[in-house]
Amino acid sequence: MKRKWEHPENSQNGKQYWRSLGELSDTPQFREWLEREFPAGAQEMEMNDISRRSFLRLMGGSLALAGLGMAGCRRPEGYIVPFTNSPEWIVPGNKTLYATAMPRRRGAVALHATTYEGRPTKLDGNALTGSTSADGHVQASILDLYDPDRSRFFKKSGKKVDGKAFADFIEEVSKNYASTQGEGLAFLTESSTSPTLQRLRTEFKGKFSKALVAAYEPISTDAELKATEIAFGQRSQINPAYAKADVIFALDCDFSSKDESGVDAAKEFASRRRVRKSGDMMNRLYVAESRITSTGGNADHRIRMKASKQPAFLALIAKEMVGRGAPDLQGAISAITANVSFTEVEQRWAREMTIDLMQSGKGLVVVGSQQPVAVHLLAIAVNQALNAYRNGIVQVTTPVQIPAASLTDLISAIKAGSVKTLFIIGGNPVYNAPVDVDWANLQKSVEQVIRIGAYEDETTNAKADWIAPLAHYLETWGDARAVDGTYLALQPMILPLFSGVSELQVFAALLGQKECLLPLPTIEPAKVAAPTLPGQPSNLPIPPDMLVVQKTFVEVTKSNNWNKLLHDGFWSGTAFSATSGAYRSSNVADGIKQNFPAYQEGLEVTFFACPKLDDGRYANNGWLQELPDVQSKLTWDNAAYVSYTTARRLGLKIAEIRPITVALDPTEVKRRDENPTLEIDGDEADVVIIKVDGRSLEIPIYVMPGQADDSIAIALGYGRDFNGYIGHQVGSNAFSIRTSANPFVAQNVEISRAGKTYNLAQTQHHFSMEGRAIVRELSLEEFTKNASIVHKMGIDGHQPEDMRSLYEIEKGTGHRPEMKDPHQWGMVIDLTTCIGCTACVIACQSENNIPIVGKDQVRRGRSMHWMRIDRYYSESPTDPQMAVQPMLCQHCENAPCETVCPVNATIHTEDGLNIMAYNRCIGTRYCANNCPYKVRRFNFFDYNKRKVNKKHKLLGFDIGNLYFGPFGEQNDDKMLEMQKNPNVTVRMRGVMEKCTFCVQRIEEAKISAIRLSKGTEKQRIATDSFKSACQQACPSEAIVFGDIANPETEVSKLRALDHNYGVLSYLGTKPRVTYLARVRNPTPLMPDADKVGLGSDWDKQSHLGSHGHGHGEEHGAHSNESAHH
Amino acid sequence: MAHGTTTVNANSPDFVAAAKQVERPPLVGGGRGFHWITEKICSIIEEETPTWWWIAFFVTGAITLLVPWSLVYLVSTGIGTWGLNHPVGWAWDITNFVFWIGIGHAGTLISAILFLTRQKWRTSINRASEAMTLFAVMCAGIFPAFHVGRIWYAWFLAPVPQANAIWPNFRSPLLWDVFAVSTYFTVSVLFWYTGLIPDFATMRDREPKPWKKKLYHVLSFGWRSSNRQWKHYEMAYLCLAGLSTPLVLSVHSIVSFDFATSIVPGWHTTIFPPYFVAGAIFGGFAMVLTVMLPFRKIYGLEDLITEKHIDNMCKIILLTGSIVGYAYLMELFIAWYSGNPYEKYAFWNRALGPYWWSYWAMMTCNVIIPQLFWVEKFRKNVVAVWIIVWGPNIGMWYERFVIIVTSIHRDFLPSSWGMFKPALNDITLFIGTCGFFTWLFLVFIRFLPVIAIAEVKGVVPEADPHHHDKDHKGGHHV
Repeated sequence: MKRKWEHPENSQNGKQYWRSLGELSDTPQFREWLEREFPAGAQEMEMNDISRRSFLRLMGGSLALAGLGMAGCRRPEGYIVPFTNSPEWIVPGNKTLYATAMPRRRGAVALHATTYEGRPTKLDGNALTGSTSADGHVQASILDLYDPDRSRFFKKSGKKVDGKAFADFIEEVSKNYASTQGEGLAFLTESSTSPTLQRLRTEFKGKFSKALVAAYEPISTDAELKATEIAFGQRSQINPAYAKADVIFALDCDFSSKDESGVDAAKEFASRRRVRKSGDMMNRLYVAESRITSTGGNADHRIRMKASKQPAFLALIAKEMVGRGAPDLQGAISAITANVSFTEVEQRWAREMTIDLMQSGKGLVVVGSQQPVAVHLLAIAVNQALNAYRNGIVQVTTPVQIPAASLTDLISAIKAGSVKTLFIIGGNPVYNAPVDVDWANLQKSVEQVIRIGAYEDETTNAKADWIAPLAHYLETWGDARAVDGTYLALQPMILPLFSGVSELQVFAALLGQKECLLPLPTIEPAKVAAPTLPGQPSNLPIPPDMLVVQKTFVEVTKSNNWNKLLHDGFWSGTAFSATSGAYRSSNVADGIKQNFPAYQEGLEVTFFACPKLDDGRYANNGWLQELPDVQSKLTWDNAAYVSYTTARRLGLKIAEIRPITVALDPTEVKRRDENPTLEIDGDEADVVIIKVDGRSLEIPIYVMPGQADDSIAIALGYGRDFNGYIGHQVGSNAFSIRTSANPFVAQNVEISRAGKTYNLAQTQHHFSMEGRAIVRELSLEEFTKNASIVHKMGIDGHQPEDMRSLYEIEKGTGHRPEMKDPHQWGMVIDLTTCIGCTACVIACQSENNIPIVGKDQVRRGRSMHWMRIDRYYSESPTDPQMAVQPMLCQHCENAPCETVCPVNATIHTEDGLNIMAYNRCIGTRYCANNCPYKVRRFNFFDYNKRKVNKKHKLLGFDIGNLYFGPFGEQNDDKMLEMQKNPNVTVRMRGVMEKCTFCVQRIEEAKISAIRLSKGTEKQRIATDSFKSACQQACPSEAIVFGDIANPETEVSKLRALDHNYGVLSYLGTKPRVTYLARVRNPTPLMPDADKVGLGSDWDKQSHLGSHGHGHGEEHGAHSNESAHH
Repeated sequence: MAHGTTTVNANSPDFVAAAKQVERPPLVGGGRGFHWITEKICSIIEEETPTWWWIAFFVTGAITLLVPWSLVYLVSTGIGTWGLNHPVGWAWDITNFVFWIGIGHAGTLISAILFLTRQKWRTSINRASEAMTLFAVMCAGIFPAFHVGRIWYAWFLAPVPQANAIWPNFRSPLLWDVFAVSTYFTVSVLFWYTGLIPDFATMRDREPKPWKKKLYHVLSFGWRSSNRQWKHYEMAYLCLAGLSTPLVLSVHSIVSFDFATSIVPGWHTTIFPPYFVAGAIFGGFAMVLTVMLPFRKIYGLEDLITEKHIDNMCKIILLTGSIVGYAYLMELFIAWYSGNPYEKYAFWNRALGPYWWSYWAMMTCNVIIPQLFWVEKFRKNVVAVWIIVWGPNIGMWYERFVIIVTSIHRDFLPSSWGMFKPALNDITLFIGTCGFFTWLFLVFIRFLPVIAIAEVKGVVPEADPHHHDKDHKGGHHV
């Protein structure tokens, strides 16, 4: 029996919903199709109703068939359970955006959360604030919400209890301590920016004046706050305005990626580096750092330097300034005794940089938050001398973090025995407190410990009489302040999955609002369905914690428009204005004199917050664990980064491979011999034992290009020991050698080989571009002279002007294959502004349901990222130049993958997309072999279905769970499925996949365009009306996607620029993704100026195999004028 | 036996010596007659099963079991059980496919091309080499079929009408492969079977057991050896030879298109079709000798597979090996001459990169070792021949490995370079197919006439109506 067209009656007085684009536009083709396919149904459609008889007939027929068991031969059925009472605005399959915010140590991030049927699936920057970008941590935090390992139960002495028991307990605590004003009561929390929490804590202090509320962050900005207190008389936060500075000197400050400033710094910085046409100016960035960071790799001039030498280097710069018109600085540096000698290059570097900094008139010096107070003070003094405060390049404002006691205060209280009841809310002090305080034992010495944490982690396991799950920020009501102080709202996207509680609820309950901790009362269904009458309160129960936040909102904004706050997510005009504290030069000089760190020769260890796992809080996040570090390309591990020279000096094993010299040019061979390009193979990395103050850490080494000599850098956040399926014992725990005295730089370090090796997992092994013009670079001067010279680089210089494919259909206009759609999608990536922050990679993963594959599979070269950040080094391994290049499917117009697929599974659409039909793919992998960009990803196993990170013992071998096939453990927990984007297929094993240009977003935009035009007129999507996921996440707006057939779009304009080029375009692939050549702005007199642009190693290499472009004469002809002002 | 009018004494030792030099050695040695040939070949099947055969049968049978074991694991668990990765999407799978397909070339070449060119020496080796072809193609077919990620959808490759109305992509060389290999296999089976019909009839006539007799009767299609049947038979055989001949050239050309039509440096080469065909013949003849020499020794077939046969095959190996060597050098020259850095790198990387050992193994085995066949002494020494042909056997496997893996492991973007290491399942499957090949051959020699009886009889002197007894006995028709 043929299937019948079943079409429910249209509602008479509601909206008209349509089921397909065809139905909506009701074109003749659709009619024809309908009539041809479902003659019986078409009749129903025309009559616009179903008769009672035909309904009964159909139902009777279906029942009979079901009864006969014919349904048994159908494919397995899934069930969709519809809402009985749908919340407002929810249309199944349509997304709903809600505004909320992600709280972070130094200012929250305003977000738009995408939800489908009440399930949040993706997080992006709040577009109303003017930026849609969100960094990798924000993007990935959605996965934390659905982490199956989260703390799930309330427990009392290890036994499960319900939430009510916990609420009763809090009430009891509140009553018990009321009489003693909270004596013996203490809290340890993470730092917070929530005004509500601040209000509650103030109230709490009023009631329990003897209670202690302390906050601890292993990566804190305390030094900066202390320095400002000395310099300006009040604890302040320093907000540099990168957009206003012409010359920036960053001292060990990775501001453009993750150094606490969120995405705004990157955005502002990039806004001054966007060069489009000859004559455009850009800022200039100088970086001195010990470990190569994204900021350093992107700098115009970078110098590597031991962390312990950096304070003296800043003093050297200050000294240079004194002699060049900033005599006020003399006071600040007079007390510094320089026991450091600087090399000729360092001195020249400092001198030329200082001249530039001062001449620009808009100079800015930023130092990393890990620097000690004295260095912050010196930076303040230097900025003062540069007039940065007066010019508005640096603003000093009230800190957004709410005040709290320090961990040291709490420790002395515990040691004094004055803490009876200790709440540990969030954080993980057993893991990340300084090792010398021995927090675990302190915690055990407290009588009663109440642990409210996201996981049952190290701290929970040490001692916890009460355990309560901490709610994720997407599950709670709350508020927060952005980096600039703007008031932001947090609203729950979903009810707490494990009935977790928030810090706010706990404090409210302690203040007597016990109902905050209790579930909302259930109400009769009839009441839910009934409309709210005008002027009457809602029938629905109002969450008491929302009312708590609302009260703060009214206090902060003096407004009652709560709905506007929830809609917008922020309240404009609440940003902090600059504080008025005057600069106190004598205090600064004293402060520097007292605390200026002394330099010591010898090995040092620097600790840094992992750009992926931060201080370890994201250790159980698979996306972040598997995200390749931009510089080392390591996943699933940390390592001790050492320089090439140091590794050699210490006799460590270096996996060094000299590349095969392509050219038989003897000078080339010589140059390569002098500067061996390292290939660092993470396999069998030498394991070392690092000893600091008598404590030792066993960790594999990684020879890091650009690392300062005698400086070992180790990422924090690894080596955790808890029940996390992803993060348990991944990497080495650097907190185990990190003391309160030396939280960021430890000296007097001993290192010895452990005599064993360890396998690291990398996603890129080869660092050299091998003389290929893949990333193309110009100096600003060269760009100004002739930007189109980028088309002459490498073998592309030999490409005929009129290059056509044998298979093209010639249509008179151009040589493109015929594509009929009015839209033609394309992308341009600006290599000048791309900072390699990897936000796009995580955004892509989150949008497109990309699975993680586990460390073992990464080692085998099977990571699944559709988008990757290729990173190349040139010059020597010790002082390299770094370049990054986001690489994704180039959507070639003449795609090599398409011709070789035997089953037509990868084809071209009329709007110029190279698409994959997953259902059609049989997995020959020929397309991937033939893809010159190697962006296609094959599902070697059922990565979505099975636990990728588990191992089983078999015959004494550790064998990955994936290798057990049907017997392997499945991802049976439905939690992770809830994150999936319902508009994107979840791929099975044996299928090839790759970037689709977010085809689901394109189709969504098309549908809405067609809906608006009713299918009658032209259906073109409004110019730049939507973004791809990577574009949306990019903080520096380096990725631009859009319709290249529409000359008005941003992408069309960028494609028309002179320095726009396609990678490997000589192959005739006609990529739809093109790149804007990297433009850098060197100062001609700097020691490394010749490493930038056409004269650089990149370019020398890229001319191998090609000849005679006649632009050699432009090399070395740098004039002395600075190009930026 | 001089017809000349000269006064040369035909019995003079000089003349006899000179005549012997000019005369071709007989194709069947030892002056063997028809009866001996029938008895000799049929006795291999009819005798008691020798113990060595049973041992070999079980050993290779056990190794063969690795094939189903590996495939079940592969299909149930995923392609990840092989060592493949990004960027190396093909490695041992396609290496083994091309290796076995290449071996499958000698059989049909011997059967068809040598038949059409009237190379009568083919008769005593064609049956076994054709069987070898079939077995090699069977081994080869396993790899492309199972290398796909979702074999349960492999039927998408077939141009069958289906609900979603999507046809296969006729531009893809993988699809050409499907057609080329299946056609080749079908025609080879027909050709082989056609050749077997008169011999089945001989077996039938000799067989005492009624059920076996019946079986041979059916297999021989009731062959009566009538003049009419022979006329039709020979025409059919000629037609099939004509059909097979272009296939010999086309199959490996099309297999080479898998690489040549791509854009990968090291694959994208117009020299591939002739170079692959030459390589296939090279490898195929080496495998024929590898298999046939022990079997000639065991069954005492020195009079049927004579030194002359071995010598001829060695010369073909020498020729094709040199063609292959020329192709290798030409590839290097073109890589340098093109001025294309990607192309250059691909070849430099083969020779000097991390897989240098495979490249030099290939060079040594395929180009250097076969040059020993310039020396007649080596061609005449059966043991030496058997050792030398292991060069091409190994070298041709390495050639495919070099072409496939070293080209894609480092192609355009250095960011995506990677290495390939075989996994256990790669190895077990390959060893399994080696076992399977040997096992099938053992079964073949036990149950079917390994030498074409009827054809060999056609090349003994007695079969020639114009044959004149020269200087020795001859002449008895059996």
